[in-house]
Amino acid sequence: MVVTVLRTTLRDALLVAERFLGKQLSLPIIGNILIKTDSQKLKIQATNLEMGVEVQIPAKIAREGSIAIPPRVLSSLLQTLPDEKITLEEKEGVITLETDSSQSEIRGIISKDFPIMPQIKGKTKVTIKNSILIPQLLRILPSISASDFKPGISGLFFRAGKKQLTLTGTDTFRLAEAKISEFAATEETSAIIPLRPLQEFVKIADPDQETTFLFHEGQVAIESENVKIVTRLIQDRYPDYENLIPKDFSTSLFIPRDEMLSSVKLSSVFSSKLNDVVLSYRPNHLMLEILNPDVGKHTKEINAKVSGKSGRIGFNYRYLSDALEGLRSSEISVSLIDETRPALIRDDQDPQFFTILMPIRIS
Amino acid sequence: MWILKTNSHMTHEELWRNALQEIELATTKANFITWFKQTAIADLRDGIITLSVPNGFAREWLKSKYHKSILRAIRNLNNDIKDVEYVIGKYQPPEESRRRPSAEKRYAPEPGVVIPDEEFSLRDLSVDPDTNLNPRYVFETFIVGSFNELAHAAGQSIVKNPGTTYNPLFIYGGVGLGKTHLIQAIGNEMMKQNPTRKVRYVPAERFMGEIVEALKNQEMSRLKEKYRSVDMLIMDDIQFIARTEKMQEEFFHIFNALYERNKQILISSDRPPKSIPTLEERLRSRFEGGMIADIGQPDRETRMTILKAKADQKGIVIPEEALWYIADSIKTNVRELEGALNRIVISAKLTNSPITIEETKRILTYISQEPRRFTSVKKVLKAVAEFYDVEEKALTNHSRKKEVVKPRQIAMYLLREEMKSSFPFIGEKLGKKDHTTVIHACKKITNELKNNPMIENELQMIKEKIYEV
Repeated sequence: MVVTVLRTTLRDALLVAERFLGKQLSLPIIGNILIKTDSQKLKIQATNLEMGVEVQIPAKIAREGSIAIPPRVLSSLLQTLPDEKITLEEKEGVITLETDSSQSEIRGIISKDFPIMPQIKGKTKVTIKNSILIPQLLRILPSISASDFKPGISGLFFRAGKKQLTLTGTDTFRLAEAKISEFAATEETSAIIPLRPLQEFVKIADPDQETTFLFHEGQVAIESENVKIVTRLIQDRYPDYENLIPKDFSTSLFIPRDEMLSSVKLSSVFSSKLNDVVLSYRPNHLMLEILNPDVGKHTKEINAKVSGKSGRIGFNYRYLSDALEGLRSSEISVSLIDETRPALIRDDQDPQFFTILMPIRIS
Repeated sequence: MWILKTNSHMTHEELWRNALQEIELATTKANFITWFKQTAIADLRDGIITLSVPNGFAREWLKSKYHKSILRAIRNLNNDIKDVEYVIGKYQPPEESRRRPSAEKRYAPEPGVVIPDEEFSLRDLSVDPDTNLNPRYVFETFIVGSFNELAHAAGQSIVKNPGTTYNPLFIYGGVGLGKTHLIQAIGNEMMKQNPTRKVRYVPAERFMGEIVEALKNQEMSRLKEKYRSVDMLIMDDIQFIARTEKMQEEFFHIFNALYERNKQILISSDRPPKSIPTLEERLRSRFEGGMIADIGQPDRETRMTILKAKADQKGIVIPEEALWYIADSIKTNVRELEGALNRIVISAKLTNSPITIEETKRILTYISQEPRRFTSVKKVLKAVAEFYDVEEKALTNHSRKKEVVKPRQIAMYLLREEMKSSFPFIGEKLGKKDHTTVIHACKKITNELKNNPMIENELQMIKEKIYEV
């Protein structure tokens, strides 16, 4: 293999690929990235066998070929090299990097043992603009359960209907859901996409592009113009959560977002192991209380509009601040039934998104 | 290699297992583990096998690199197979995310599970993953009576001076008397007062599981490190560990490492160290070197206090005489006490009527073994005779046949234990025998109970016969 590429292009591609490296004693090769030529492009692949990524970069190919190399050495080298144009030459498992002023050799591994990237050629396609998708994912992903104990909820519930694309995430303590109406789908479909690849996806996605989800036989390819993530889908039933969404409320609160958010974040200073923060409310009066016998206590009056019944309710402040951070408007709405049932948090300006949050018991 | 003839009778599982054995020989171990674990035959139709694989990578790899060997291995076993196809099966989480086997059991989803409302709020009751302690068990809810005050006091002083006063603290007592509650409460209290201390609660059974797992993955040193770094180790139901030598050895080393550095060790068991027959001498002497406290059976007043506390906790009103009745009916087990109360509360809720003494009595007859008082000598003899398939008359005559002697001794033992009859009375009833004969029989059975678990089963079955309605 002999190719010429631009240093920054290759460096950025490596940074993306490195996120997907695997670690497995029985298959050390997946700790490497695969570099291979494909017509006039250079493909860089990495996988941990559960998900994989392929980044395509433009390159001038003089001779076809491929090699697997440890990415650490290469990316450190690329960070520091001064020259922009780099020629890579592979020969018997050793890759030579040549620039105008320098020459380096990196020992690689013959690429024939590198896992083959699954090719997904399904017909079920859903395309969304990143400028719409990414903000919604950013507010849902924190709610998704990070543990595998309940496989069904360890991913994003992705449902493309006729008119709406619904994205849902939950970890049984909270649930976030967004509806997107600007999207294109070849047919109605639903799937549970694992959390990890989505977390990586939002980090590497380019907001100016669009993304296609291609579903086929228990796998999905998440494709942008030059990055493609492939992962299995979670084959489990997503729980029936519709009846969990509270409906008839006894109290509604309209709270200034920024003031609330900074107060809730302050809770981390005081909060006990339970991470609890208490909202105490009566008509047109809202008080935030944090009490930790070991540390001290803190109360804060919040200038909110409250109507309905009075009461006290406790939340995990982390979950509460995640929910608040997902909302953009200056005023948010919190609807409550009582101190044991879930609260509905949303932004009346943006009815397409909401969070429900389970209270924690307070003494 | 020979070809199996009865291939058509093989189940999919057997077929694939046999095929895997052959494939394993032809591949390296690393490759075999990576690509062939979690594979199975999902379907076999028209001579085409559908193989379920864990992910897309495995599918591509098997398809392009191992297709021929797979097909050959399968055809060696079953000639009718024409082709193999691959499908991505249900995903199983990889090993590393399954570090907590028991936690997983607890959270294992039933198929098509609906998140119940409760689940949403269970958070504050869930077990702390670092310490394994259940926050539900605290001193505040632990009721102290004369039967457990020693253990309780020892526990309190441990919290104040961990590692120095009573180390190790060995708590023993019967089933359902609050051993787990007490030791977890000590752990929780410790965490409350010193959140930086590392407390670790582990049931012996899980400890053994961890050791087996560590031996398998060759991570023994990591496991040891994990246990040696704690400030307080709480080991529940240690008697199980005494079954195998290896476990005792591992525990011995961990014990020593902690003990030397004055770290608190807390152990519970269902009997004192010297009554655990297979416990090694060096461990026994160490256990006895600290403080041994027993939890006995609660007296009547304490049972009443417990019931009152439970009723208060649940916020229910229940007449005092009904509570006394429960306290009198269930004497040996606090857990059963609570269960009986729960049952009465639920049945009152279902029928939507207040709890009365009559209602309580009616319900308790189902649960408690109180019908004991209706037993008679006749019933016992009949049950024993039936169980051992001997003539009832044989029990009361003077035959010394082996088949009769043991049932007769059992009958004597039961009459003594269940009816509290006097030795001379029993002797009289069983064919005018001397009271010393009866004493000998009871002693003999008591001894045998310790050594022979079969006897215990038999006694249990006979008792069921005696008390069945």
